[in-house]
Amino acid sequence: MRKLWLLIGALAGLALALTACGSRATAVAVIATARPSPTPIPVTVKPGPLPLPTSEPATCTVAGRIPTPGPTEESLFPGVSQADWKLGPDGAKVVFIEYGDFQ
Amino acid sequence: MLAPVLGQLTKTFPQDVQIVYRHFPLQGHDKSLLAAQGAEAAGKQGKFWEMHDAIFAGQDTWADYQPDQFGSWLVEQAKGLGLDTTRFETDMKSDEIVKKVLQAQADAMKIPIPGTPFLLINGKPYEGPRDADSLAAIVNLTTLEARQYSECPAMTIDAKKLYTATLKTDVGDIVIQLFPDKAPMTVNSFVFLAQHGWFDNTIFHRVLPGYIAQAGDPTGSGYGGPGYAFSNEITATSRFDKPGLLAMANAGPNSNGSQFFITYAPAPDLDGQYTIFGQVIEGMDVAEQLKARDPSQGSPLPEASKILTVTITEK
Repeated sequence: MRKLWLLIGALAGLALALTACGSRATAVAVIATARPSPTPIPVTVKPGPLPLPTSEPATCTVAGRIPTPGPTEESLFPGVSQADWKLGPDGAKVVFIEYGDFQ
Repeated sequence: MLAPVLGQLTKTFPQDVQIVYRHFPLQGHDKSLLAAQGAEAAGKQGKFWEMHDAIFAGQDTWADYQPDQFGSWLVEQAKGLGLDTTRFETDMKSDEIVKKVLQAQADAMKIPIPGTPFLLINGKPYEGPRDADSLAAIVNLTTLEARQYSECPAMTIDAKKLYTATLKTDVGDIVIQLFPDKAPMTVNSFVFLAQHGWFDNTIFHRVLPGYIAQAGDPTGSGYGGPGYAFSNEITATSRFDKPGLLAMANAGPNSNGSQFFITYAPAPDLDGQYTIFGQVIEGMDVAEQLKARDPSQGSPLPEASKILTVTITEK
């Protein structure tokens, strides 16, 4: 049991040390969860492991763009209809629906 | 409060944003139903959103009112909006409107909506930050899709030629010699994007004095990219050993897109992770004047320096 606690203590210490090392460039996210899931990874610049030169030719692939929701994910919520109070053009690229209570 | 933030978005993005308001008057709130009825009654006279805004804006005033007193306050607002107040009062308590609001409440409870305000973005529940900057970034990212590329750019540069990029910014020009021999794919992509106007009117969204200045994301959020990703081009000799180096920012190995950074000082902690593909040859003093801005500090962020255009010369 004591060994386990020593291990946990050591891990906690390591985590702290790593946090301290990384503190210079922690500017990771503007808005860490600002997009709908899945959680995006911001493009950033931060210190990391030792140099790992690449020797193979560089490659390029089409990256996943903004993820489209799965076909079942929207089913709970009724789509926008003529019965709704709307502001802004129909067919807008981004539609915000607020369920609100004035009080 | 969410409602004014959404209202502002429709003004900032008149073509791209639509907002929808659905009532979810919470049970146990003594004036929720009446407030919703008031908005509906104003809607009967074409002023739903005006009343919606007035009710939210007046929350501090009417929060402690008794329901009767609140009813009178709503009529006052209707008067202020130029509505027919007699009709408004009748509509507000009409069976039609009472039923409509109760139905909305029942619908929301059936889904069930966990609480208010509850926000859906393009049909998906959204539980992230609701400040103006964060929601604007989401709009920008979504609209960026239309500009993203569905193919990697064809290799068009000649590694034997000399390429320079001039970043015309709102504080002056930064001239950068590119390294097509050391990082051909990276330079090719940068040249391609510059020539397609990708960087025009974008910001230096992350400027950390003494370290780096980062740009290349049209959304200005740090999450935007061109729709393709390419691998690192890092050689054994590439080192962040001086200021003025131009390198790609990334979100992990081989995820280079369009975001790049310029170093302000040697940064050996970045060695081996980021492709260096150029060096500032003129205008380092301009780079030093870019407005400091650290997105990790959260919203609201200070105004950013802008890239107006990036032009490429080939010799």
